[in-house]
Order: sequence, then structure tokens, then C-alpha cells
Amino acid sequence: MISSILAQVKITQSDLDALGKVEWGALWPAWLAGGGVLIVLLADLVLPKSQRWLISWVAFVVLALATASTFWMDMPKGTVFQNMIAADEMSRFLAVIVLGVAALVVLASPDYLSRIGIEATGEYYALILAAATGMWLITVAAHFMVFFVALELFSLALYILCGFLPRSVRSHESGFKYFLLSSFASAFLLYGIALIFGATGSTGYSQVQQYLTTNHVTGNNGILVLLGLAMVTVGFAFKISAIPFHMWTPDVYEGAPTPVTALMAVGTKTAIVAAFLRVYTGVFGPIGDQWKPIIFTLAILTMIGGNLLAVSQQNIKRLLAYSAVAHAGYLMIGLVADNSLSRSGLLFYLLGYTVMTLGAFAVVMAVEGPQGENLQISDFAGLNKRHPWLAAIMTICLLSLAGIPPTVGFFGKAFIFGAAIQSGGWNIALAIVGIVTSVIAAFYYFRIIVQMYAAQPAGEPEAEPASARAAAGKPAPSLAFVLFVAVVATIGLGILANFALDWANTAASVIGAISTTRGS
Amino acid sequence: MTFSDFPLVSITIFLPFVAAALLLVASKVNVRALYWLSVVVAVVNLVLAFVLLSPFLGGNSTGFKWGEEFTWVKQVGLRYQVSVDGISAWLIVLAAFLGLVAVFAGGGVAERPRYFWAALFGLEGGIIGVFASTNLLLFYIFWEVMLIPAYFLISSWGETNFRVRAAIRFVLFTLAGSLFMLVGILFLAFVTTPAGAEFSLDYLQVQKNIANLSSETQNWLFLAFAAAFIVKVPLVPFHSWLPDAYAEAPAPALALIAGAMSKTGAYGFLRFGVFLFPAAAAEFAPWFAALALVGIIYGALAALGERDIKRILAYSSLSHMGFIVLGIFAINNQGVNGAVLQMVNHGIVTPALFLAAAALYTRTGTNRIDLLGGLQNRWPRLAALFLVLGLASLGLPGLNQFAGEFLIIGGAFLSSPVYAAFAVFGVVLAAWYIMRFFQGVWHGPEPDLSQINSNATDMRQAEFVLFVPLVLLIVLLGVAPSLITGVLDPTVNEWLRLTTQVALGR
Repeated sequence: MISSILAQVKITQSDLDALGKVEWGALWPAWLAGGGVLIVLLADLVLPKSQRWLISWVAFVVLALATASTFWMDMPKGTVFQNMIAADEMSRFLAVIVLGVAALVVLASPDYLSRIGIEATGEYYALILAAATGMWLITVAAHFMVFFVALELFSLALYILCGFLPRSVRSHESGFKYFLLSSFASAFLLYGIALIFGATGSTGYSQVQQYLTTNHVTGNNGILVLLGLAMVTVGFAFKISAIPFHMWTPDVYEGAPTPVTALMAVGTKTAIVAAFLRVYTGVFGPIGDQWKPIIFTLAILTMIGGNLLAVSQQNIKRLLAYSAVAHAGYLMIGLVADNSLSRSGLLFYLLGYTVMTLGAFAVVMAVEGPQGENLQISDFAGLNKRHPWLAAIMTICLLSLAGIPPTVGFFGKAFIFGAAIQSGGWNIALAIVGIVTSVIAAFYYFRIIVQMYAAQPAGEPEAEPASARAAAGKPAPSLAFVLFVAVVATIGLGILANFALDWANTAASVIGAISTTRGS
Repeated sequence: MTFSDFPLVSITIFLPFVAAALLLVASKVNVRALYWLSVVVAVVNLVLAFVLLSPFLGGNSTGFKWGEEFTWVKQVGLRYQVSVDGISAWLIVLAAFLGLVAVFAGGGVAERPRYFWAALFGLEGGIIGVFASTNLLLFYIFWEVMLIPAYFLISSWGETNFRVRAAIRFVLFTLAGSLFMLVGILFLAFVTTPAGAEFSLDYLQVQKNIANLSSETQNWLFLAFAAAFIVKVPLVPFHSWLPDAYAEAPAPALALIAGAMSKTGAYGFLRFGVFLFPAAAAEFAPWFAALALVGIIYGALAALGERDIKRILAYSSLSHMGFIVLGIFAINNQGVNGAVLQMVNHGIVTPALFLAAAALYTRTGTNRIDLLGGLQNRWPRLAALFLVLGLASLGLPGLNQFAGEFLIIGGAFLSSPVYAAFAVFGVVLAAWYIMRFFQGVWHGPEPDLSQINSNATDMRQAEFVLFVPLVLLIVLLGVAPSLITGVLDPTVNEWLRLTTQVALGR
């Protein structure tokens, strides 16, 4: 019976043998997080309403296990699944960031959701798990098809999550806007991949890289490759919200539920930047002269524009959105500089950006009112009096975002700017623009600090700001844990920057090892 | 384990930070107990600073003594390296002393005193770290760490509604300057490391290798470093944060900000400007000397035009910092010796003046000299204190600032008589604005002042404890400046000899 079916679909015994040889173990995080989607949805069905709160813990445990699983992950170095998936140290590094962040976001969510008044939560956690799976898969993709499928996996989940607030028009706008614009960008990306396939005859990273190494990009094929590169770059620039492809970011970030915003700001950005680190410096490495000027220009525009636009924001989530735009600019320096320090520095920056941004968003979640939207910077007035710890954590995260030592943000900037200086030539201009814009950034981060410590809440002194949470409300223990992790990591990864950078270096060594000595 | 095996420099740096951290979390402890504990910690730190100074007291020690180091982030040449030489030892003593003065004087802060002392300790630790760092990136880290407590001291305990803007302006100005230094430091890591060697930002090694760079590169790097220092000192036209910040900051905080933190800029010019880039510094010396002179004259004229006591003192401080920078950029023995001596002297006189102004303010409720006058009969001792401090500030022989200014002007004369001529003009203006300020408050008719607290007595016991040691120091260093220069001289000579060699050797 079985053999006849196998014969019909032309699967031979040797195929089955090959199936047994597939390195399933290399994808533990994806099995767990992806399987977790089903578990959570099932739990949502079978659990009585009074025990639905368990769902978030199921999702958290699954994600925590997925993060931990990378450490027993079968690591056959190089690529697996017919060269579709890269199973290397970088995959492990990014699993810890992306899945770890998703786990913390899950942990921070119940408090927020209950305040917003959302009851049915199974699909929320299922979607976060799906998004996390996609985010990790895109970072380990070694093939443009896997890349695109993973991209769509997390994008689709995020479209729904952005519009998740049932009674909020802003949230619906956010989801719809993100869906429309992001689909458009995905189309560009897909078209670009198709053109590259047309020119090189392959969609595997190593084959395309091989082709570009051995062939000059001239003639018709050259045009195809460059067109494809341009379109892929459009998709990339949109997804990391580089200027001028950033227009969606503030609206989407503002409208989405805050935990989702945090997941997008941190998880999506990390996933996309890491995936494109493989694509640009790996696959397109041989044609670096073609894409570096583009990314160079985007980086300068993004650093200047993102920081300038952030200055005038009054809404905290919009401010953090523009701050995320600005940081995309700094991240792109790491792509352009393209030396060993830049690659490990980029991964280090991602790690640092993750913890400090997550910390800032977690504070926003803790301060946010029941409406869950439209939190202004002025609502932070006098936070030091109401919640000294929240104010202190926010201050540390903001100082880190501004790049003040000895936080992780300072070291991230030092490594990235250092890499730009090390690569020399025009890239030094990137470092200088980065430095100058950092001063602007310090201005708007300090605006929040000023509100928290020096300003009185509007109206009567000591009066509660209208939309802020009641003074008595302390953050729930799970949210407090997220805050604790974020702030300890923000300082700890700064003081122990050498260990974190060593690890990032091992991770980046799949592309090119870092050197601690000066080459001759 | 012998005594010298203790990581004394690190303990001196981190004791204030530990104290700050403990103060931040000690919410359950009695505030008075915390205050006296803070004073004790500050005293211990001062003792430690003197221990660090002790090997240099014989006057025959040059180069770095003490010190600890371990590798931190080798990929960018960052090592934790701290050490002291004859110059930094004195400045660490100054910072520790002013830390004690600030904490002692800050006992009366009404609002959130615990946090106030914590910020003072954080600032003190940062300043000592700056003076003790012998790795360029570590220096930068401490340099930025100073910024945060200073920001909070101005923005949270400032005296008017303008405090937040003053604090933000201070932060942005300083940050804008120092980030250029960061680029310079990172650049140095990558270009001065010899081929095949591990990246290094060790001060002595960078100093050795810098001569291999082209003179154009050296000039750019020097300017990148100077950008940080010129804002911190500050020199005109990068000074506009200073009057507001000084006018806002409470007097105990100013003891550290005006007394010690401003010296980090001057110290930077010396250690990471003149000694690190001797060729570039010599090339740009006329420019910086000119800026210093502009600062001297401008500060003095602005002080003449002001009516607010704290602003007069702020501009006076600006003017005096110009002398220090002038001495550094004379790049000779007299000038540099005088500059470091003057850093210490100015670091004693300026805090004393600000604290005395605060003592006056608590009695009169105003800082405006046109609202005051004829108070000498009311509070003769306070008037005497102002007189001594004022005379010290204008450089009366026998009081400490005279010795420093004399050496600086001598050094400037050797460098170019024109500098000396302008600098002397600055001294004359100083006499003018100080006497005008003194007379405005203490002489003439007493105006009808409702806000003067008629029950206010003359100097109280606590004020005597605070001011008498300061005045004694002013007199002591006035009659025996060799206590400091005797230690400095060999160190300065050695550095100047080394750097001239490096500059000529290329």
C-alpha cells in the first residue's frame, strides 16, 4: 500500500534514506517556536475561560525553550537542508536575540492586554510565536526562497498583531497601513529576487555568490543583477525603515499595541539587519562597489533625518519610532564599513539595541493608561516622584540609546564608528555624521529625562497626568522582570562588552573573522 | 602583600562611585547618619589621594607611579589603565578635597539630599577617573561619565526655572565637543598601532607612535581632541553654556563643577593636547593662546557688566581659565608649571567664592549687587571673608592666585611678549571687577531691603569650619607655592623634554 503510493509520487527508498540524513536538529528553535503556535491555539480551545491566563505562560515557556534549545542545537557548521539553511554560530547568536526578545515581549503582554481589555488571547500569542519563528528563520536563511517565506511569515503575523486592538481606529490604521506598504515592499523584494535568479540561474546564496565572484556584472545579465540588487535594496530599506522609505514607521509604531511595537522595533529590525548582513556582505560581497554607495547614502539620510524628525515629536511611541529609524542609520554603517570589526560590531549593536529599546518600550507599557494609546512625553512628567524605579530604568535605557558610557549603547556606537574609521576613505564621513547626529539624539532623549525628573505634571502640582496610569499601579511582576532583564543587560553588556563582542565575533566569523591586530 | 600592591588608584576612583550607589539605594537609613557617613567617605578619599601624591613629594619622581591595568575590549584597544604622575596626583588631591568641601557644604540641601550627595560623589569619581586614566578610551569613558551627575546637579537642584535649559545646554555643548574626541581616539587606535601589533590606546605607546603620522593627520587629530577640551574649559566662543550653568547650579555642586570639572578640560589640553601632539600643539599654540587671551579679556569685561553675583563669579572663572590655557600653550616650563599650579589655586578660590556667595544669599535672598550695599557693619566677618577671597581672586601677592598668574605670565612672556601684555591687562580688569563687586555688596549706603533677614547673624560655626581651612590654604599656597611647584617641576620638565624630543625626532 505505502510502496504503491510512494511509487505513484515517485519517491524511492533512497529518498527516504536521505530524509533520515537531514539535519533536523539544526532547526530546534523553529520546531519549538513553530510547534508552539499549534500548542497555544490548542490550549486556547481546550482551556476553560478561567484558565486562559495559562496561555501566555505556555507561549513564554515555549519561546524560552526555543531560545535555550540553541545551546543544544546540533550545529554542523555550514549549511543544511540542501544548502537552504545556515546552521552556524551566527544562527545561535540571533536565536538568542530574536527568540529571547519574543519571550520577553510575551512576558510583558498579559498586564498590557488586560489593561486594554482584551479577553481572547490565544491567537495573540500564537501570532507572536509565528512572528518569532519567521524572524529567526530569515536570519538563518541561506536561500532566497527561505528568506522570502520567512519574511512573509513574520510580516503576515505582524499585520494582524498591529491591528489587534478591537476598538482602536489607530490600531486598525496601523495594521492596514503596514499591510499595504509592506506588501508593496515585499513585491519589490520578490521581483528583485526573480531578476537575480534570471541573471544567475539560482536562488541559493552560495550559488549566487559564486556566480557574482566569477562573472563580471556586465551586459544584459549585469543589468538584471543590478536591477535586482536595486529592488532588493528597496525592500530592505523599507523593512528597516531607512529614509526615504520610513514613512510608515511612526504611524504603525504609534497605532500598534505597545508590546507589538516593541517586537517590531527590536525583533524585526534585528532579523532584517542580520539577514541582510548575510545577503549584502556575503552574497553581494563581490559586487560591493555597486551597493555600498547606495547604503552609504541611505545611512547618511537616515541618521540625519531620523534624528531631526525625532526632535519635534510629542508622542512617546512616535519618538521611539523615529529613534528606531535613526538607529537603522547607525546599523547601516556596519554594513557599509564591511570589515571584520564592522560585522561583529553590527551584531553587538543589534544585541545592545535590543535590550535598551526593549527596556524603553517596557517602561512605556508600564506607564501607559487604559486607552493604551497617545501617551505623550509630557505624561512622563514627575515620573520620578511616582515610580522612581521606572524613571531610573528609563533613564538608563535612554542614556544607552544616546550612547553615553559605560552602557551597551556606547560600546555599540564605538565599535560601529570605529569600524567606519578603520575602513577609511569616505566611510570616515559616516562616523562623523553619526557623531554629529548623536548630539541631536542626546537632545530628544534628554527631553524625556527632563520630564521625568525636573518637570511637574501639567496642571496642579502633584496632580496625576490625565492619561497616565493611576499612581498606585505598580508594574505587574512579569513586566517588572522584563524591565529588570533589560536594564541589567543594558549596563552589564556594556561593562562586559569584551565578552559580548567576542561572542558576536565568533558569530560574525562565518562571514569573516575579526582581527585584534593591525594588518600590515 | 605590600602596601603598594593595593589597587590604590582604582580604590580612589571607585570609592566615590560605591558611595554614590549606596546613597541611591539607602532609602531606609537616617539622613543625618548618611550625611556624616558621606563626609567620612570623602575624608577617606582625600587621604587616599594624598597617599597617591606621597611618592612625588620628594620632588625627584617623574613619570607614572602606582597604577592598575587589565584588558577590557581589545578589539578597539580599550584597556583599563589607571596611573598617576606628579601632575595628575595634585589634581586628584584637588578633586578629592573639593569632593569633601562639596559634600560638607551640601549638608543643608533641603530637597532629596541623599540623591544630591550621590550625584556629588558620582561627579567626584568621574573627575578622579579622568585625571587617572592612562588609556585614551578609558579617559573618554570617565569624561562622559562626569556628564550625567553634573546634568542632574544642575537640572534637579538648580536655583531658578531656567535650570533645565541650562543643564541641557551644558550637556549638548559638552557632548558635541567630546564626540569629536571619540572619533579622534578611535582613529588613533587604528592608525598609530604598528603593523602586526595588537590595537592599543595606551597613553605612553600612542605618544611614542604619534610622531610617525603625517603632520596633517596630527593636526586634525589634535583639533578633534581640542574640540572636547575647548568646550569643557571653556574658551570663548564655546563658553555660552557656562554663565547659565554656573548661575543655576547650587554652590556645593559648583565647588566640584567650577572647581574641579573645569580643570579636566585644562588637564586634557595639557595631557592629551600638548604632551600627546607636541608638533601640532606647537603649530596651533598661537591660535589657542589668542583664544585664551580673548577669554581673559572677554570674561573680565563681561564680569564688569554683570549685576548678578553668581554671574560675575562665572565670568571671572571664565577669565581665569583663560590664564590656565594661556600657560599651557606657552609650552615652556614656567607656563605649564604655572598652569597646573593655577588649576589647583583656582580650584580652591572659585569654590570658596561661590560658597561665600551662597552664604550671603541665604542672608539677603538676592544675588543682585545693585540691590545690596553697606552690609559690612551688619556682618563684618563675612565681609572680611569676601575681602580675602576677592583679593585672592584678583591676584594679590601673598595669596595663592598671584603665584600661578605670575608664572603663567612669565611663561607667556617667554613665548611672546604680546601675550604677556594682554594677560596683564586681564589682571588689571580683574582688580576692577572684583573691587566693584566687593564695594557693591559691602560699602555704600544700605538700601531698604525687605527681604534681608534681619535676624541673620554673622558667620556661624559651620561656616567657620568650611571657610577657615579654605582661607588658610589660600594663604599657605600664596606664601609657599613651591609646595606644589616643587612636585610639579620635575614631572613637567620631563614631559616637556620627552615631547620636544618626539616632536623634533620625526
